[in-house]
Amino acid sequence: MIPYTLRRLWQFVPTLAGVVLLVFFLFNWVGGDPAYLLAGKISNPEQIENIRRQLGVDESYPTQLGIFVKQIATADFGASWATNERVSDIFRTRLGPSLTVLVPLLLISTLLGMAAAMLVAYLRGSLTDRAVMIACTVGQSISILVYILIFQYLLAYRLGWFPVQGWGTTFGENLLRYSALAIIVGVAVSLAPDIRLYRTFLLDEIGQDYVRTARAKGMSEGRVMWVHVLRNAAIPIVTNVLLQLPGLLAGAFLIERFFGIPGIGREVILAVERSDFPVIKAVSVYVAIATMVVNLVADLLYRAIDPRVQLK
Amino acid sequence: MREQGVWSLAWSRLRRDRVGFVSLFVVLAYIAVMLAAAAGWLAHDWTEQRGVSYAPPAFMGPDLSAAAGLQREQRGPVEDYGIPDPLAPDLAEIAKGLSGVGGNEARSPTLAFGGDKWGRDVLKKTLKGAEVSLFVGLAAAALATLLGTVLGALAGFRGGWVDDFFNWLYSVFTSIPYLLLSSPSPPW
Repeated sequence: MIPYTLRRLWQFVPTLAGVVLLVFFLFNWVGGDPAYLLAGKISNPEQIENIRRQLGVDESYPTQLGIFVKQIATADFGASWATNERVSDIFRTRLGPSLTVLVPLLLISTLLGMAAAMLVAYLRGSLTDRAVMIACTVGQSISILVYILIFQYLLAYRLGWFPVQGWGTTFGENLLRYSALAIIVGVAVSLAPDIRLYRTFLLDEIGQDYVRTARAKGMSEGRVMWVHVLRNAAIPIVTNVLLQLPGLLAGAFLIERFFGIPGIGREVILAVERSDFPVIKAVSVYVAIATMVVNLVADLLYRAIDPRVQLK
Repeated sequence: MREQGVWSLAWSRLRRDRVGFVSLFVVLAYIAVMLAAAAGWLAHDWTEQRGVSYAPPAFMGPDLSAAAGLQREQRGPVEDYGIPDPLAPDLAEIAKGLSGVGGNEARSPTLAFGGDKWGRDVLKKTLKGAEVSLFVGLAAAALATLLGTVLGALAGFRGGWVDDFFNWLYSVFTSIPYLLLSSPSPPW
């Protein structure tokens, strides 16, 4: 286990190097010149040159790449080009709001999805199963934008149960008052694909020989479903939830933007719009590391749960 | 029995799958819309300002408050120390244009699925926009399938460092947030 982990950690290096090269290449090739953006509409060549020197974009590409690598090694990405806020401060203050929405969202949608998937997998082929599957397909076909607008209009604007958007100062207020509607929308959106996926995982297990054996020796249906099937199906489900997390951190930007939540996703969009390279660099490196770590944890978890799995 | 080709086998399998077969026609209908919009048979006049500003959808009926003249009252120019507003004539012109009075034809109070700020039909805009979206989506999917098959087959067939290289490429691309890869270049 430990040699395997060390080997996998060592493999992080080439992947991270690839990420660094790709991000650097993409930014310099398709991104705009940040100096023009910062200088504003009325500017002269000397101002532009000055800003370029301050940002360090007048250096040669190898030098800039070297600085990038040094920044990763010291975990200090300097200050944002747009606001001059320290990148580390940006992440420290934006991570909380993101997690306030994402953690309850993932927990609720996973638990609800598993419960519903257990039900329809158990009743496979019945009217309930088909009705739920059709409802899921319809629900999945509707854009998240429609969910956000309709929920905001009906529940927040018309009925006044939630604030339409905003963010407070205390954790309790944020979680119960401002995140509530965002979490409801997120659950509504992710429930349909979750149920479909988990149903497949559960049906794979229900078709296995050990389930037939368990039933044949007279075990109660409840024990077969809740102990044998659920435990085995939990492996792919947990992996799936884990693998979603790094992507969601930056990917929940639509929810964060519509609900005015000052999270990571919103910051990423702003950074891309402003050509704010320090923030883009930090986000891509952090998300890449998180993705690799989560992958490793998922593989180790597999091994821990299922001793048949051989890690090479 | 005569030997069947790959395509005829695939076709007969699709024929047997009822949901799949119906779905095929849904996809074909979307492609037909895309081609019709590209050929100009559909929604070619999407830029025309047919309705009033923010015209409600036809099934909701016309906006009564607008008809009764309950819209925001026009305020006169603000007195600023006796200096006349130099933009007043231009603003009056714009206000006239916005109210729709200046238009040379009568504007419809409702549109099939509503209108935007300039009174353009949202349904037509959606059909025209679908042309681009569907083309980009189909082209990207086709290219990704082609590249993925060729590179995957190459990696699997050659093995060794070729396989390692493509595996590395794959893990690099999957480690970068999708948002950063797909974000459009900034608008300037």
